[in-house]
Amino acid sequence: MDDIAQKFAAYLEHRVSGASAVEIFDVSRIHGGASRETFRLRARWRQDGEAVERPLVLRRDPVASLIETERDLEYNAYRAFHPTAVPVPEPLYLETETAWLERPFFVMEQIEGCEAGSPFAPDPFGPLADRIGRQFWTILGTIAAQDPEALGLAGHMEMPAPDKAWARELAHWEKVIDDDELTPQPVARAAIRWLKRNPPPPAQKIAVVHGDYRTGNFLFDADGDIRAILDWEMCHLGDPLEDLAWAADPLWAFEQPDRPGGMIGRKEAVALWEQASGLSADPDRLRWWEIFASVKGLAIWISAGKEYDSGTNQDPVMAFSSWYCTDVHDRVLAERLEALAAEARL
Amino acid sequence: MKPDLVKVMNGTFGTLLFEIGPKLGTDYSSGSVNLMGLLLLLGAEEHERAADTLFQDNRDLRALFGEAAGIVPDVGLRGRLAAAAAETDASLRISALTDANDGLKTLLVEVQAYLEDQAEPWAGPLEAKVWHVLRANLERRKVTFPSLG
Repeated sequence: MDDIAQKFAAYLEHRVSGASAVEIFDVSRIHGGASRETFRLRARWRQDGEAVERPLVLRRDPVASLIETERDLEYNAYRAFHPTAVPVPEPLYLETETAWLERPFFVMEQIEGCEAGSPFAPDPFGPLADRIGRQFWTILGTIAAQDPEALGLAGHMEMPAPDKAWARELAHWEKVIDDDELTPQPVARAAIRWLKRNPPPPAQKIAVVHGDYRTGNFLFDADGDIRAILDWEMCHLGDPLEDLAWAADPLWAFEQPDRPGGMIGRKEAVALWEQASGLSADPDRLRWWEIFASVKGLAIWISAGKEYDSGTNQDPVMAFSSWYCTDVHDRVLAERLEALAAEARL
Repeated sequence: MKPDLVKVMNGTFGTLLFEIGPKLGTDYSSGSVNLMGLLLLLGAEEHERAADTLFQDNRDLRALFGEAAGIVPDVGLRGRLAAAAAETDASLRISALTDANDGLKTLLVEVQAYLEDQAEPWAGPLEAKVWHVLRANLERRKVTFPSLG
C-alpha cells in the first residue's frame, strides 16, 4: 500500500491545480468484484493556503478482469449520472497513462458511513428492506427514463436499433460462453436456442442499461437511504428491461424468489420501476429478459472459471462465482426451460 | 490418510473464518480469506461426492442415449447414441470420469437441439426425459453453503 500511496500522491500533486504537500493515508484495498482493483484512501494537501482533505476511491485496471470492459466507459457513466437524480459518487479523474500506477485508473469520491448488502445473505437489509427496496426499484426506473443523448452517452456507446438490442446482447454473451467454457454447457445452450427462437418485441426505447444493477452494487446508510449506485463497468445502451430482469434474478435474492434482491415483493418492485421509467414491464417481454439474465450470468461465471483455471486471475471470488453462481443459474434455467419445452408441445 | 480430507478441509474453513479472517484488519484480506475458507468447505463436499456424482451422471446419460437410439430416425445420430450408450467407465479417477462426462454432455447438447426441431409425437416424451435426466444431474451437483451475513 505504501507504494500506491506514494505514487498516487505524486499523481494528485500533478493533477490538482495548486496542490502541494500531498499525503495519502488509510489506504486499503476493498472487494469490488474482480473487474478492477479498488482502493479506499484519504488524501490531504494544501491548496491556496488552505488544508484540504478528501476521502477517495481509486479504481485501477487489473492484469485480467472478470469482464473485459473499458474503464473510461464506467467513468463516463458516473460523469453522466452525477448531475441527475440517480445517486452516484462524484467522478474526479480518469487517467489512461500507465506511467503513474502501471495501469489506467480513475478516481472518485468515497461515500463514507455506508454499506452494501450481500446478495448471499438471507436478510441483507433487515428492517430497512422496505425503505431501501422502494428506492432501489425507483432509481432503476429513473435510469431507464433518462435520454442517452441528453446525458452525453450516445456518442460514447453503440446505439442499437430497438429491434436489434436483444440480438446484440445475446450474441455477445454467447461468444463469451463459446470462448471460455471449460466443460459443455447443455443448459446454457438450450437457453440460447430458446431465446433465438422466441425473440422479444422491439425495445420500447433504447435506454442506458447499467448492466449490473443489483443487491451488492449500491451503498446505503444507517437511515436506509441509497447513497450511491456503483459498478457501472457493464453500462451500455439497450433495452431497459435487461436491467430490470438482471436486478430481479433469483441469484441476488438468496432463496427469496418472492423478494427480488432481498427487498420488497416482486409486484411492487415492478410497479415502482414502471412508474419511474414511464415504461411497461409486460410479463412476456420480461420473461425473455429474465431467461437472458440467467444466460448472461452463466457467461460471466463461466468466464470467471476460465480466468481462475488459466491462472490469469486467482482472486477467490472468481472460483466462488464459477462454482456457486453457475450452479444456481443452471438450476434456475433448467426449471424454466423444462416448463417452456412442455408448453411448446401442447 | 487420517484424519480424512473432508474433516481437514472443514476444519481449515473454520480456522480461516473464525480465527484468522477477523484478525486481518482490512476488508479485502479478511474478505478473501473468508472466501478461501468457503471454497474449502465447498471443496470438501465435492471431494466426498464427485466420483459418485459423475458415475451416476454418466450411467443415466448412457441409459438415456440407449433409449433414444431406439427412437430417433436420424441414422447418424442413432449410431452416435448407441455407441455412447455402450461405453463404460473403466476408471473411477475424477479426471477420467469427467472426460467421459464431457463427451456425453457434448452429445446431449446435440440431442436436445435435434429434438427441439422435431414435431412428431415421439419427440415430446423423449425431450421431457432429457430434461428430467439433466435436472437430476444438476440436483446431484447442487452447491450448498451457509448464508454469508
